[in-house]
Amino acid sequence: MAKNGSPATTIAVFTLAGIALLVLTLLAAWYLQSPAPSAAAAPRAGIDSVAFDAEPLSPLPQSVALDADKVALGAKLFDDPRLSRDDSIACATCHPLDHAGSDGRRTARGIGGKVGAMNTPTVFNSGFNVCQFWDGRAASLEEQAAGPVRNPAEMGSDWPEIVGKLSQDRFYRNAFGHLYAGGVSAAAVRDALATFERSLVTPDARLDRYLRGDKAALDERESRGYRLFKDLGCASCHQGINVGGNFYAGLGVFGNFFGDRGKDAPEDQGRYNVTGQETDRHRFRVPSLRNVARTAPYFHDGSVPTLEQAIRLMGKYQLGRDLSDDEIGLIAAFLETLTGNYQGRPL
Amino acid sequence: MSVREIPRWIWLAAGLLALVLLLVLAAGSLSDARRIAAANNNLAALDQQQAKLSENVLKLRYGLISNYDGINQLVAETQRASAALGAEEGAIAAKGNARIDALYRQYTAALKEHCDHVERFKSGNALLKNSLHYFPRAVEDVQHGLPRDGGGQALSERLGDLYFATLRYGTGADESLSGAVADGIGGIRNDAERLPPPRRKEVLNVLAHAEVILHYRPAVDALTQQIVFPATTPLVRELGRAIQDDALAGERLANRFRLGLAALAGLLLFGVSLSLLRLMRNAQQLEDSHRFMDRISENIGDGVLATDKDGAIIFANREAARLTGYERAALLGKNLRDALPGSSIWQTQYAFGIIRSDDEQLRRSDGSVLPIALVHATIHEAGQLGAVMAFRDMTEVRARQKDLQLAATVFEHSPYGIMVTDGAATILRVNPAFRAITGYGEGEVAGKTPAVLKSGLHQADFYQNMWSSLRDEGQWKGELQNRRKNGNLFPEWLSIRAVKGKHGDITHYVGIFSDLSEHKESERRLEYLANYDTLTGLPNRVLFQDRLNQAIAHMGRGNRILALMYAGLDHFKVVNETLGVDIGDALLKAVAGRLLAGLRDTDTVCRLSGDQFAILLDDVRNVADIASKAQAVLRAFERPFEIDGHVLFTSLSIGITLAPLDASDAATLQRNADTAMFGAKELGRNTLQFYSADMSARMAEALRLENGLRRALEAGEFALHYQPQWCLSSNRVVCVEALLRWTSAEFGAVSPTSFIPVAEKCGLIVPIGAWVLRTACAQVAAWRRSGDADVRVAVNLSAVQFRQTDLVDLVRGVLAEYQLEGRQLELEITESVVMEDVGRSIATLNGLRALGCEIAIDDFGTGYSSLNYLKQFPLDTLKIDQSFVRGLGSNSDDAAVVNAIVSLGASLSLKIVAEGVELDEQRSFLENLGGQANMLLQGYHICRPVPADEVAAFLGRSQTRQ
Repeated sequence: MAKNGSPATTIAVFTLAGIALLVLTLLAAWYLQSPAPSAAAAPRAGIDSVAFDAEPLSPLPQSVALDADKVALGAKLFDDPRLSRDDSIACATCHPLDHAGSDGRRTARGIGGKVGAMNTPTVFNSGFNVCQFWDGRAASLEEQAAGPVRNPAEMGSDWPEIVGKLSQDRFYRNAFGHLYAGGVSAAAVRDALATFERSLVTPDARLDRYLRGDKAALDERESRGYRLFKDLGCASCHQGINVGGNFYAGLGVFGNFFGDRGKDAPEDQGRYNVTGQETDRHRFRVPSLRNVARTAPYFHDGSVPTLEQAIRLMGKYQLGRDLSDDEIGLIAAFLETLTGNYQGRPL
Repeated sequence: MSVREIPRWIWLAAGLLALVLLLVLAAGSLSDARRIAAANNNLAALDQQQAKLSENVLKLRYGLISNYDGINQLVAETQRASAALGAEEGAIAAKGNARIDALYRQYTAALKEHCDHVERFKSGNALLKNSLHYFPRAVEDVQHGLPRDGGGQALSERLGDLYFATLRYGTGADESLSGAVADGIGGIRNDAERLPPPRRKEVLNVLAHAEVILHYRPAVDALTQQIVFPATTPLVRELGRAIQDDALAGERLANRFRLGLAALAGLLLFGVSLSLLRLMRNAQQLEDSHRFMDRISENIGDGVLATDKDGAIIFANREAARLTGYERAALLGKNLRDALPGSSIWQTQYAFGIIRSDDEQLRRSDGSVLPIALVHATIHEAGQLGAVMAFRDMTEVRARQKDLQLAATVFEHSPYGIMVTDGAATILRVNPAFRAITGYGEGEVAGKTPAVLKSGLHQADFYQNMWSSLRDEGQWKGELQNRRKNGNLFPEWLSIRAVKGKHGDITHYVGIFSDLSEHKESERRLEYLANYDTLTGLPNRVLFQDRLNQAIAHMGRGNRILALMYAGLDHFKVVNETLGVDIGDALLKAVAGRLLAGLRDTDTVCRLSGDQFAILLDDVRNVADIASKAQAVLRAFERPFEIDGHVLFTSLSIGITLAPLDASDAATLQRNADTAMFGAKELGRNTLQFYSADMSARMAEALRLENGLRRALEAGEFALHYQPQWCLSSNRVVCVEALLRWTSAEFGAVSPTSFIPVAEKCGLIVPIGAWVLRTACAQVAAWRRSGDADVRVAVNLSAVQFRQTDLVDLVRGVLAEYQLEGRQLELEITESVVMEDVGRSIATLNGLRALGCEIAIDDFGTGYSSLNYLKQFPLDTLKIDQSFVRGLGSNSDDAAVVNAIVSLGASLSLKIVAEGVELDEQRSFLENLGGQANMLLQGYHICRPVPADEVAAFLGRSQTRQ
């Protein structure tokens, strides 16, 4: 009578242990025999997409590859006023998609009728901007979302509050539960919103067709306007796929814009507010000119009501030239060709 | 698991632990290597991106590309790659590689600066490009608006020079042109002072743009230089080398682990194989040992059970299953107590050590109880207590033991002497009876031969016969004489049996003998018991019969007389009843003694039954001798017996018959003696009576009378006559005595003195008495109703009647039946009857008196009444026996007796009835006395007994006569 059961059991245990050990040993040997990591790196894809291109502007893609479910979820969140403290304001309140993604006001109006200091930029094509906000304080759309949400003058809420509210919604619980590992969370909400916003592309502007080779897409005035736009050096700054939005430039190179108008408020300090460097004072992210004809008023503080005025001011302070009405007309005509389509319809 | 094997377990465990540790470490170094590889990939990507960036920046600077989307993308990718690198670096740095950590910090700082440079390049380049784009148009516009004069022309030329210098400077790489541009700007500014304001403004705008170009071109070039040859590049390469070094170090470490792992695995494999081998060998040994143990336990012939510390059965062999009647599977796992209920086997469960018990029981599955022997051993298994029990069926052993015990008991307690010898007749064992018979104990004869008992009376050939018989037949039986230890000879009945062994040789002799001397004694005793009366020691009826027969036979040969006497002890019954059987027995013994004392030795005295003795007088010469001998016996009884403080008077009634005069056969003689003895008793006891033929005739007559009496009641042959009693004081008849008359169809009128004793003897007196009582009462009631007479009726009660327990009830019933008062009935009882059992008589008399009846003592004076008793009886009347009255006038003794009785009656306030008054002088004598007492006269002188219808007539006559 062995203490540890019958001899047969003991033998079985030992045999199993032996086999397990053998397997373990073989596994370990195989694992360690796998080739050591090589220092040689494979070439990275993507760099070739930057093609040689003399044109300062490039066309928008027809569509962007995105997770359709996240886009749909983001669209719902975009329209959901629960993202504001008093459930009164949604993203779409200030970025109405049927209104070129911008509120048309000089500056934004938040909860309780509070009025902000900055003009609302359009949400369309914002995914092509190199950074977000006039002063570029958000490197991505995900970061951007936190701005209006937490701004007391805008939505005046915070993430825990929003997550709490959304978590009570069965739809959101299901949707986030399906799409995100952590369910409803601040990061997931931001991701969904950003994904949706990246889908807000307005392709097929006439200029884009022109750039793609359809020279008839622009009429003679518009063509002249485009040439003037380039000759005057506008395209030095308003360039690339988004016709701007890809770097920072100072306002008032050939004149003191803020001095001349006698107002130099904190919101006018631009990127200086972000970096604190003197060289960044009055520097703003170059605004995208896509759909610019639909996004009046203009400038960071919405202080310029018309496109012509904006063009005139740009000529004066950025070129040191008083543009003629004819020139302004041509440029304005050109800018009209930057208006694209959203969901097949012109903005 | 033995103690020797424990270290191997530890080794194995330690080996496994080391293996796991090595695997973990190897995996750790491996994951490091992976991270390093990833980091290397990132570094390479960064390098490439930097190259692309440099290319793009140069293209932008020289106008080959006109938008920033490309470099923006490159910067973003660079930032992503460096962030990824940071994550890898973080993991590597966490390992404590300070060199990599420091390099990475430097790199991130340089990268930030690099990105800053790119940003500043973008702004500066935009401005520079803006001015360079606009500059030709601005110059043209100014030139176009200048006057066509000399001054205008000169300015235009200067502007033209500035234009080329500025454009060359701005788009080219010629640093030397900066002086020319600056000079041109200064010259034109001076000239512009002279121009009209609108033109001047335009010129100044051109100059401003030229200044922008002049100013921004070196700045942008510097930035371009910095971007194309960034500080990050050497750092990236340095980082790559550092990481490579780290990876190599990790690889070396991993190699060492791998080696160690392989070695350890081999070692473990070897160890495990070794252990397995040994284990298998052990298992085989264990199995062999198990099989061996199983074979032992199955063939041991005992039931074996083993229990664990809780008493649960963990082992049971086949025999255990067979003995208990349960399947082995049904036993295993069960608690012993539950598995074998009602067995004593488990009661030793908690005992320690080894216990042996031959007296346990096992209740089998079918409920039968098996006697078993049990060996119970506590076992220590791994520090816990268990038990092993071996048990066997003791049924046969027990039975054998019982047989042996029985044999031993027989040996010990046998009344026969038993002697066991070996084959050489040397005594081994003798039993207590041997000692009792021979006087030799076992110690005295063991080792000797039976020759110690030799009497010397038997010849040598006697013993030779014995031995040859034993040899040939195996046994010998016979009677022989032996000698006891005390030298006495004794006869014995000896039976010897030879006990043979397996091979037919004689191993033992067993001799059993009985002491015949004792046997003969008991034979005598039995004979005595059969022939003698144990109480008196006299021969009993059996021996008497024998002697009588012998005497008759003896008598026939000579001319002799044989006398047979039956002697009955008078009133012995009274002694027995009043003083007890013990006294009675003592009296009988004393009587026997006196009988023997008065006779010769040759005479035989026997006790026939209770109080009856027989005396056989053999060889007597004449009848007178016999009579005198009988008289002597009677005289011997005149002396009282003193028994246990009691002085008892008793007497004999002796009947005598003679042979061959009366009869010559035993039966007739005995009957004759019996008849004669009853004759003597009837003669009043204490007397002797010779048998006569007349006596036999009377006996025959009595038989016939008895038969007649049996029919008389039914036949209505009885009648009552009444004899009046004349009261002297009231001079009238107050009572009539009912007297029974029988007129038999066979015998005619029969006297009451003839048939009453017969009726009493055969018990017919009871119904006859009842008839008398009822008839008398009916008559009195009739007289009262008719008014003929108002008298009391006196009815005689016989002794038998008086002793009937329901007498009082009978009387009460009759009185009630005829609506009579008790005082109208007088019951007469003889003195001797009353005296027979005084206590009972008093009770009966009281019962009758309670009914109101009057009690009269009949025939007073003939018995021997105790006056003391007389006082106690509830009496009303004494009737003087007529024998006394008859003598009145002639016999003075009788007169004295009568006188005394009358006085007695007066003193006791009793009425006196004088019976048998027949003569005048008797009457007058009584009348003289009558004044003293309440006296009544009865007799022929007054009136003879008459039938009922004549009574009334007499009464009427007597009233008138008086």
